[in-house]
Amino acid sequence: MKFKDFFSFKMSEIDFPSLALVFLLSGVGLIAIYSATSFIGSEANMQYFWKQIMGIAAGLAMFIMLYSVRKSFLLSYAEVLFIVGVILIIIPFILSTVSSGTNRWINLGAFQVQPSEYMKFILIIMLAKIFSETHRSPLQPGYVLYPLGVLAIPSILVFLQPDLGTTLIYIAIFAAMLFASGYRLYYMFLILAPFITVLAAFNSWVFLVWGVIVAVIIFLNNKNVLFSVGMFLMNILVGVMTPFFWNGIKPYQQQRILTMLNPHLDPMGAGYQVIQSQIAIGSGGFHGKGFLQGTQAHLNFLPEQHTDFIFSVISEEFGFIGITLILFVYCFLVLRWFRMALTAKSTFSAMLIIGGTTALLAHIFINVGMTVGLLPVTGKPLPFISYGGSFLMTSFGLVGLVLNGNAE
Amino acid sequence: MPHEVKNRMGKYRVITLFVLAFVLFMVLVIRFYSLQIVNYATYRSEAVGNMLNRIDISAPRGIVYDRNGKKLIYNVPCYNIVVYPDIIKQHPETWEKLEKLTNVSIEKLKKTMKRNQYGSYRPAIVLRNIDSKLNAVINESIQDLPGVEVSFDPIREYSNKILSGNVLGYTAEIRRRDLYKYRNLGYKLGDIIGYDGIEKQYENLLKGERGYRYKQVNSMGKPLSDQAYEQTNPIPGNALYLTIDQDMQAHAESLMTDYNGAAIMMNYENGELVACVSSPSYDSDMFTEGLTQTEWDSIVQDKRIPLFNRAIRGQYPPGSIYKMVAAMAALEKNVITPETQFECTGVYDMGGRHFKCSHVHGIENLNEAIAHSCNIYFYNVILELGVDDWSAYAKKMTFGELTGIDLPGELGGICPDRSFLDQQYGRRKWWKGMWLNMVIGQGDVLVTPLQALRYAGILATHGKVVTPHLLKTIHYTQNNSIEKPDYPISYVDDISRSTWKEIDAGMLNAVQSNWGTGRTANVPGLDMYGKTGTAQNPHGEPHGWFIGFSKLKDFPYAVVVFVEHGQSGSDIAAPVAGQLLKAYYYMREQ
Repeated sequence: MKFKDFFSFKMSEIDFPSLALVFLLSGVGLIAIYSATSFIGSEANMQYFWKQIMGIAAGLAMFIMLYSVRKSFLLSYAEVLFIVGVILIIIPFILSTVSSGTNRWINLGAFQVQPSEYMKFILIIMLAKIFSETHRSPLQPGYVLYPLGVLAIPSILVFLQPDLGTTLIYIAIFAAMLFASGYRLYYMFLILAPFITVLAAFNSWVFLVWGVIVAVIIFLNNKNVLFSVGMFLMNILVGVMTPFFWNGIKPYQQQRILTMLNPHLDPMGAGYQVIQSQIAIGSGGFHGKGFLQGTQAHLNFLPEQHTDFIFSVISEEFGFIGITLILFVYCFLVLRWFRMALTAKSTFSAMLIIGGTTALLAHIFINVGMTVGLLPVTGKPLPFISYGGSFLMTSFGLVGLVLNGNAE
Repeated sequence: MPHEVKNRMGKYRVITLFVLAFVLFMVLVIRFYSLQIVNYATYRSEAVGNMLNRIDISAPRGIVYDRNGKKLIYNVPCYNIVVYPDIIKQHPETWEKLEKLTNVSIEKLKKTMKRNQYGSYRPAIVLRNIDSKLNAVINESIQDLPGVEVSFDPIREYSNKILSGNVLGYTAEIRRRDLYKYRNLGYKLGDIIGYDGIEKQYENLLKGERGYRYKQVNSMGKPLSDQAYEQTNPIPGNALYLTIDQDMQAHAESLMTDYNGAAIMMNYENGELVACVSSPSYDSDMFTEGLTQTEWDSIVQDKRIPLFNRAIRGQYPPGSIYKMVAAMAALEKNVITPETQFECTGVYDMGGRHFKCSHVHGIENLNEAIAHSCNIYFYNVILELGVDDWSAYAKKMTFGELTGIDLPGELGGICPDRSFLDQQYGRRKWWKGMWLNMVIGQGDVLVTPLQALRYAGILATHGKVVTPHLLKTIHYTQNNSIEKPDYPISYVDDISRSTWKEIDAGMLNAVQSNWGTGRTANVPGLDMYGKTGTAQNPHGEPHGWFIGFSKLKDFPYAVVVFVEHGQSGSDIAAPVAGQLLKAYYYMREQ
């Protein structure tokens, strides 16, 4: 086997507008990092700036790799990649029992590897292969079982690390690809219903209404009475058990969940970041305080301001205008890529596009949603803009997968 | 190959994802709109509050002048050594240098710092009120003392011509236990507040409004530069002009130094107090510099109780100065006429008890009885008059009620009447013998020197009831306007002219005749009227009283002198009263 069997770089087929906008966002990131790492009363710390440029270079390498990798290779070796990926996720668990530390990283001396990042690519490739296979019908309920198993293994491992954010990204990738595969909406509803039931169970009226909705949908869609009744009772059971579970956990655990949902319950603790972030954003106003003029950022009130909360720095200094422009660029890219799924040459290619785009969209929404206080603080960075080489490689890699799907 | 080279992906599913993505972005944009446009003002002020540290600038308290514009209370700079805890921590050798320069041990300096410390970045006082010599030494070597600074606060200084802590009061750092009631008014721990006297009474006018300096700080509260980001200047307290005449006050103090008691002089036409002395008093300056425990103990344990303002809080039996009440009531109720005579045999028997008089006065009419201060005449009067009419006239003379003077803590004395006796001793458990004590200002009757003075004023004016007061005018610093407060004036207008004339005649003879008990108070040419009082009390020698006034048209002044255990009214009180009126008469002439 030759190198050419695995990779082929097709310069002419690269979607250059996408690449140009990605570099534009990376440039915005550089400016924001410069601002976020210079504090009043001290010199600007250029170290982060230069490291980010190196990160962009590494990201570009990752882009080229995933853009060039042949789809035939991916189809043939998807399962192998998946198994290797799962093993890599397990390794930190084993190592961490020896040396203290987090379960997320594999330390290779000079740099660290975060296997759950690469699992994003592998999961997309693996699911793209499964959802493009023709021997299972998406109209059968059992269609979901195999891909669900593929999702479950890395998700559970990553959740135990614990890394809720990445788990949610995996689930988002899976859900979008399952949806795009044409799986019956009713079946998707059945999968989703118990989770909504848990939330609905906290209010008896909401629970009652939700129960009626579940009953109506189930009995309208299913002729198998036994199956329907079973499904309905399962949901009711989940709902009834929820209060027992909630009261069974320790008060500090309840508190942690509640704070996650409402940061103002704990303004000096877990909620501090979100409140300070909202102050930074809100005080930016329409046109912002100006470059390097953000008081929240430069007086160090913002936590993690060059990584997870970089968008707050931009909001504070460039205001609603700047933010809208950046969100417009993101939106333009995401919509452009989703559209590529329609013109892709094969289902597999289309699935790669859907998976990669969804992964990026999920990152954007989880990060920005966190900085504006719509979503809990999960510590997910913003693609192309947040500081960090590892995540730049993921983001550029995902773009590589998407444009790879678009090529040929 | 199981994979078709064909895209089977459903168009509508992709379009749904497309729309969903768009909706998610719109949600974010709307959220940003809400934060940055709709709630901009809220978040902006929160961001400003975050980055600015507010430092108080204390306002200088208002200056207090006497009626002639002489400074009674003013401010002087007080220099303190302060350290910046964060800087001095990096230069521990500074402590040793400070110890050498100040002769205060490191432990003590550090202890003081801890007590005054608010965070690492705010200066904390380590030594208060240093003298100018030490100030100069510190300033010379300030280069070698990193983290050390000399700060200054205005502190109160009180005129050293007078020693009237009871009237002027004092200022001190607000006490922890007082803080809860003052917190709503904006006071904080460490603030200076007026205690006692004028300082307390007019705290609101004197305190001024503190200013603020805003310094930019980072999230740890560390100031980023020395420059103030924004500054609101303090508004100094308003200036007060008192009715007190400093020289007169000093003179009254000097006359009273040897005695415990009170001496007050008032313009009976308008209620202005020219002098208000409670003796002994204390030096207000002691408090502003911070009392040591021994100083505090010596004040509190002083048997002469200097902190006790006898002029407004001391309640004593008034003795014979109260007799005019009975005389007025009896004349008005036609129980006696001016010609009615009673015989004084030196003792009066009632129910087997002897009620004594100071002398054997023989047969006397009302005028003689007042001038001689005969008790037995008034025993006869009260038995014919009855307690109800008598107490009604005592109340007309405003006994038993507060005068309303602008000093904190005034007490109202006791003006006994029938219901008081019923309450005190039980219905029908008391007997008429008690009246005999009460009519001569003994027994249950208690008055403050200030009440006695107002009574003198009412007698002098034939019924004008003024409110004795100390504040003459307020000079507002903010708009330079001058306010002259109004004090209530009322009239006792149901007493006949002839009665007033009889009372006048008695008081005239008491002072101006060579047989009156108050003749030691007489100042020729001042047209003096007066009445002595000698009040028996269970604690020792009788208290001496004198109330008196001049009837000169252009010199409407009344005076009260009260001397605890001062033998009799004519021994000490009356001469002091005379000297006071005389002194002020000539002082005014100049």
